[in-house]
Amino acid sequence: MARLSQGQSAEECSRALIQAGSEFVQGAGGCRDRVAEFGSAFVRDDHTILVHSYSRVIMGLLRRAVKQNKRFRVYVTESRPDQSGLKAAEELQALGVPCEVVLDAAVGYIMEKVDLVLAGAEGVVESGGLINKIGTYQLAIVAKAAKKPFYALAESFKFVRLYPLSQYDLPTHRSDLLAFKDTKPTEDWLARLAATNPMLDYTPPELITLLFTDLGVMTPSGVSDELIKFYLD
Amino acid sequence: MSSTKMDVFSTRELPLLIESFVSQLKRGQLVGSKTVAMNTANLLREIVSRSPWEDIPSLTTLLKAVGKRLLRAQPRELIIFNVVCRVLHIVNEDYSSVEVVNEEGPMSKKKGSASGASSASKGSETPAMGLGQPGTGQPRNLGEQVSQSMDRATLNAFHLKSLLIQEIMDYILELEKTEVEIADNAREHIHSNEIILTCGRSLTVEKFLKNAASKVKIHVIVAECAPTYDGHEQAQALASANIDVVVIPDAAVFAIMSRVNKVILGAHAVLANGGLVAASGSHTIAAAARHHSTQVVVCAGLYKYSPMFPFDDDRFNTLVSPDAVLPYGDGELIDTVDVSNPRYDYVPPELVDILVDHTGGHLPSYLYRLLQENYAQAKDLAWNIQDE
Repeated sequence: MARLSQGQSAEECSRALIQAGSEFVQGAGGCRDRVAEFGSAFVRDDHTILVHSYSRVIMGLLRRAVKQNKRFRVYVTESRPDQSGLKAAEELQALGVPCEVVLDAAVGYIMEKVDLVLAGAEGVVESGGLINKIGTYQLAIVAKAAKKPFYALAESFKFVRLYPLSQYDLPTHRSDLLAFKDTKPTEDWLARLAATNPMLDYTPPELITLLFTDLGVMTPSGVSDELIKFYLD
Repeated sequence: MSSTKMDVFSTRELPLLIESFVSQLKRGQLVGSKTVAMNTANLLREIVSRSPWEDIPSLTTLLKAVGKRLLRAQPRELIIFNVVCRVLHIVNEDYSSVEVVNEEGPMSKKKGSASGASSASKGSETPAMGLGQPGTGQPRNLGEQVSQSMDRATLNAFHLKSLLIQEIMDYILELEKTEVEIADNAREHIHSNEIILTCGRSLTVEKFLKNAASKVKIHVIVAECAPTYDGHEQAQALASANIDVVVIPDAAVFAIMSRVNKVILGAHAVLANGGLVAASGSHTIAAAARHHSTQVVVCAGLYKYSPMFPFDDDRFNTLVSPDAVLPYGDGELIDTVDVSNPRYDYVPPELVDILVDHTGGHLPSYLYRLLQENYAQAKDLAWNIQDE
């Protein structure tokens, strides 16, 4: 906190911190709108978009595109195990956008019909890669194979100073995930599935075409530069 | 203020100047990216030197308005946009360099923490500049601060204008020398006895190859680029410098590619993702080169680097008269067949290996950095304009 100098009392410091915190919270809401502003130009008439799971940023972008009177259709992945894709489909339907819920496994099946793929982000790492809901990595691989653009939407406060080299380098990784551990025979496989499966995965930067952030549209290679500027003070 | 009555535009002169430029653009009288760039830069210099502006924000508003006007006249001419953005960047850079010295260190940092594209880029500028400036961050008493900033404000008006004009003149000079400076890099990329493939007519590539040929022996294969057959002119220009030139039809590109060591292309514009808007036929050549793992070198001046992203492949393409493809005289066929003649090709960034500008070679993935350095302050202009 550069504005805090040596001579200030604890009270002044706490006030400055609270001030900065509330500024951040106020700014954060606006971030999503700016991402939508930058990204909505990429959605054009007659496009078929594939969206992964439920993401408020993506909803914001699609809402903005609808306001711009663009006509497009959306495939939403179901996104097991919490089925958050269904929530996205409901919202899109309310907006009047034709949408279909797609099985996570059917992504390869429909990829040819898709014009672009949108994914949100829980975090964007230093290499320009993406940490997001499980299934994003798979989606990106299929998109790359079918030569479809894969766009990630992230606000700038999601940039992290991590450099994962594999899926298992993520801080959310636990050694007991999908680890073949059984103390007693499993009777409820569904419950076991929910317990032992990971919720996040890592998408490497080669699979990402562009990142839409509130600082602008950038290529994955531009992320580390922005990060450096962020953390410089 | 600082300029005499005679130097300042009368109320009708500025619109007239812009109007004549706009009509030249609309009529297509300005041919060639460099001509357009030079004319736009000169126009903006005239505006900066002769318009009655009082402070930088009003100058910025004026330049943005002019930029929008020019762009609306010729929306697909990316060069205009680049030049306007660059001039705006020059203006804003000078403004913030003076601003940083005015404000306390913590104040400018506060601006940096507020979110917002333009303020974020400005705020992110200040920490970097703050590091170099010895004055910021030191405790000062408020009174001294205020009086100093007031002195600086009055200084601005006089010195900033001449500084701005000087910087824009430097930019125009840089524009003039673009091809020569790019050609100076030729020897780094072209080795002796190489077989080089190029296509269409590009002054930059011509100078580049001539520069290399003056030092080493090279062989050049030129794709003729139907239906304009620009390749023929290019071949003649190269042959006049005693270079071994072979002209091939566009369809033969893939067949020849296995014998080619390097592909050197020109570009009409380089987009922010590293993709190119280049002469029709370039995408085929680049794809054939990728298939044979042959390097593709693109020579393009910095004024061609655009902060715009291609939302789709055809955003920046125009269709010209199909008469060259299928003559109108062919009455019967015309009724049944749709003929199109696109002027440009979009080459995706994966197919481009190196971009050469006057500072040297860059990877397409490095573009974001170049754009930041040259256009950072004017990015919001991009998003305002593209909506129209």
